[in-house]
Amino acid sequence: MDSQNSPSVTLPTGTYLLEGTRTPGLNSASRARAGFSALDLAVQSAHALLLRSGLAAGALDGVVLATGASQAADQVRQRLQLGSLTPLQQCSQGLDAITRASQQIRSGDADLLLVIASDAATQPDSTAMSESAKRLAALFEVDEEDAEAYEQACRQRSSEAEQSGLFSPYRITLFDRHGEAYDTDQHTPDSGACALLLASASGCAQLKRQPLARLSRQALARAPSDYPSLAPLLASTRLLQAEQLGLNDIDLWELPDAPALALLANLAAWQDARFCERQLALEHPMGRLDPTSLNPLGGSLALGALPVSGGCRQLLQQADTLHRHALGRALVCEQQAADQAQAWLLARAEETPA
Amino acid sequence: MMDALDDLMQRERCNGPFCQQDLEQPNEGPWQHWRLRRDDSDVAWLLFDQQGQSANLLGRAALQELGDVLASLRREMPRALVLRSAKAASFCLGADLHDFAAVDNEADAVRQLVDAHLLAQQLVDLPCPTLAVLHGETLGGGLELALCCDMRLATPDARLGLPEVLVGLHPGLGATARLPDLIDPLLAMRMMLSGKPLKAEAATQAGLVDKVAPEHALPALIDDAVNGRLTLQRRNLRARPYRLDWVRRLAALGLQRRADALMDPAHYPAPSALIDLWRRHGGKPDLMLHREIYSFARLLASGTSGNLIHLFFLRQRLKAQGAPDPRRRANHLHLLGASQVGVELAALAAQRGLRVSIGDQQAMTQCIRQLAGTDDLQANLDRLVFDPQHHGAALADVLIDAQTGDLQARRATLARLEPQMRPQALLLSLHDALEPLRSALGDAGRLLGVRFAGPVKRGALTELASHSTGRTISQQHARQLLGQLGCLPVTVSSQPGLLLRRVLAPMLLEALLLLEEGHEANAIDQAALDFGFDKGPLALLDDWGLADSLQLFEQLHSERDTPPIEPPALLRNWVEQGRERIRPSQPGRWTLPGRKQARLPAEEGDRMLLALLNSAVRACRQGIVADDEMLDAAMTLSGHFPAFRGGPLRYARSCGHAALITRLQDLSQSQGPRFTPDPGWTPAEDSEAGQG
Repeated sequence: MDSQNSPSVTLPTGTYLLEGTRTPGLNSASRARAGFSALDLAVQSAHALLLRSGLAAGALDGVVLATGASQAADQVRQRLQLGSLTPLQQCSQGLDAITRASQQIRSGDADLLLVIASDAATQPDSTAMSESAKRLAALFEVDEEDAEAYEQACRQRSSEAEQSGLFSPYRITLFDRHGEAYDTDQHTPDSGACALLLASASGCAQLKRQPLARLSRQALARAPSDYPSLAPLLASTRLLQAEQLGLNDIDLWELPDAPALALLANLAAWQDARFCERQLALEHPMGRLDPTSLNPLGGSLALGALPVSGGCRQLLQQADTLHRHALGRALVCEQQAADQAQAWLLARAEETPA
Repeated sequence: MMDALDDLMQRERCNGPFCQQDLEQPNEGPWQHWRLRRDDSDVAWLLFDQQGQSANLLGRAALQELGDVLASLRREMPRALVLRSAKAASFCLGADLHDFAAVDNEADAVRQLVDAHLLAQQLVDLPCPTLAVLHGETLGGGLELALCCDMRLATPDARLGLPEVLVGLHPGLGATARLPDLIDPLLAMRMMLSGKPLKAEAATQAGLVDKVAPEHALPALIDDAVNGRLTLQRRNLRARPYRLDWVRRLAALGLQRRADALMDPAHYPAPSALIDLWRRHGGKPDLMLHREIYSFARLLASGTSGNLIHLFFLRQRLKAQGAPDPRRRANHLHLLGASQVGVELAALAAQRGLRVSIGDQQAMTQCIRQLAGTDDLQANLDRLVFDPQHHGAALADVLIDAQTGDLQARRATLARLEPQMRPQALLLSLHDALEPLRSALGDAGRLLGVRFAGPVKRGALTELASHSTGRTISQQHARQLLGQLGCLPVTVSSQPGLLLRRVLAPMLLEALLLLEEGHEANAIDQAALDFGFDKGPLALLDDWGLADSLQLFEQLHSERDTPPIEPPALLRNWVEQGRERIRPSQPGRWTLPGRKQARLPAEEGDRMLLALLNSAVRACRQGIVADDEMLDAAMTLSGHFPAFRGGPLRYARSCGHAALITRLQDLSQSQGPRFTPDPGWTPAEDSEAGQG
């Protein structure tokens, strides 16, 4: 955030999260009044990000845009004033966009990439999810009261985070065409955008900035269609297995928690020896996840579940917490369309002396 | 990328037997400004290519040569003639105003015009089909030449107009007769009265152009045209009723009323002359062509046109001073604070393509509202970024200090942000007083003061104030920046009131003294309006704010080089009472509302004018501005002196310095030492530059 000049150290190769911005979450009434499209939100968050990173749009090696709107790509090029030679990709999920960007950086094709994810009135179809959550909750003996207690705790954590100013460094102020400003997160939002600047090690050196976190590994999993709410558990487990890590090697967790019942059922499933053995092919159950490390800022229950940009928003916030408390690893999982989930492992950006 | 495309478009241009390489070579034909060649099918292509210029002006030399060209064509008649411009961006920008400025009496003007008209008639009378192909700006004499052709084609970027009225003239090469004959006469009159050009599409609809087509479609069209296959819509039904005298008389009344609402006919005679010409002779185009000559010559010989042409050149000079350097264009402006001028400046910058970061939330909101209704609104809005942490200060090419309020706080903010600025970035303050800011900065050489004389918009005159340790290169960069924004920068030295207010202050003081003496406020303002000012001195005081004015008067009072004038007690009392305006509402533009108009005696009105002239001479002597032309330009282009009088110093010269000194001396006897003639008056130079 602040000027983080560290020219004397270098970073190992990899993909780094340098900087990010997000818009406040807007509810449908405000969005309609302001007349924001997904593109408007994307452009405003991207412009603010470029400004605070000290970049002109021309300096980017590419842009990856995630929105529900399909015709957005041509306009975003024009509105961000990208040159005709800057590659622009489009996909439909925020963490997918991160994955694509990360692949380009790892392959050495790009040093600086802008990822933008934007929602405007995209309504997740949650009936299948809550149906599946209820059934799983019954199987793993989680009841509604636990879920309510959890929800309350989430709201509490979120309002504490708001009061101690943890959101404000990244949350920009939106302006509509009439000059009206929107600067607070609203309840039950359905719109919002998040812009992230990803860089290679040399990109970081070029901007002389210390990154917030390193993007370490990604895993994608699809749940059986009967139990779509299991997808985050499967993706996270897969990611942990690939890295040979246990639940408690992760300092910060960000799991989809809307509905809360689905999350609690998944946590209970990780403790269930039979489930872990039969379904996940593990010798031992994954165990109990330390609740203080889970969704420390209130997760999407408090900030609102935005299907496209929510994952990026949580990733940015986790990276910030990781950076601020100098923690080791964070895992961010996003529930994607229907029965799929994607998890990203963040690690502290460790410098090696030059 | 762009250059390559420009080049491709240039190569695609349809120039008949000339290819692009030919045109890049120097002209080896018999004429300097024209290139003539015939293609395989015996069609003559005549390209207007004024030597040594990037755009064509229809000057005397070019016209003379055109006569020779036509003579040579008549000796061996081609199958058809195609007239085009060899310049990349435009057909012709109009007549060469230098020619007009050189004419000083009516008889000479008539003689030259008759020659030009004969030439135009030769083009009309050429027995082969003639075709003008127009692109870009096609203005004034250029359009009049095109009107002499049988057919006109245009590319979509063409803009056709007759802007003569802007320099106090009307068209003088036959357009006053040919245009109303060709298109709807009322539209023709409106074009000539407003000076605004028509875009190609609109011109086609009006019938001024026969077909619009992109460059690549032109060869086929030209081929059709010269072979008589082009369908022409030439039934000008709209013109029919206006052949009747009484219809024209009625229409002329309406036109006159509208023209009067824009410009005072007593001071700007051209619109009336044009309307008069049409009303009398519009039914008989041949006679009208003839009468146009005399009307034009009369306007040319009048002082108004001479002064407006002079002003045109001054504007060119100011534009040249602010011509942006293509290698060093500003891309990013950061706005500190939220003053109204600052917000307007930010909005203008966004419209001109700069990225604009704004630190203040209120300013951001204001700026968005300011942009409402502009062309390409979305792109303009996208250029604004709200930046409460002032990240933009480190990126910007220019930081605008539009802070209001406490000086200490302003200094503290600047002291915090200035070290982050890029070494070559500029710091422009919208406050006059640069001194108090200077010590807060690490590099004060980049600090300049900027004051807009009116609302911030394209073409606004801007005073650019440097202080004693300012860098000259920063000044140049600031001029280029303002030029990039489309403003007209005048460099002045950073004295109280800069240039304009300094020059105007004695006149306003005199108006206040007259008010104290018991004259009516409206009468005082009316005297100035009668002279041609846009605004009376008391109305101007309201604009400046009484408290600010008093402060300025006090500063000037304490200066050593200026005769002391105690600010009137009247003003002091008002300021102490917290009064903000002299009169409650804004009076009209040049006639004030009122029942019985009280008039100021001429002697009293002259007091205000002489105070102004004396202070203009003083400011010039004190070196507040580079030279007397720049002073005149600043005063007139900012709307603070009647444009048709050419500026205070030009007006003073036309009255004669000697005569004015005598008047000032008389006044200093009767009114006091404030009228003591400034040492800067130069009566010795009266005769050599005396002109009306």
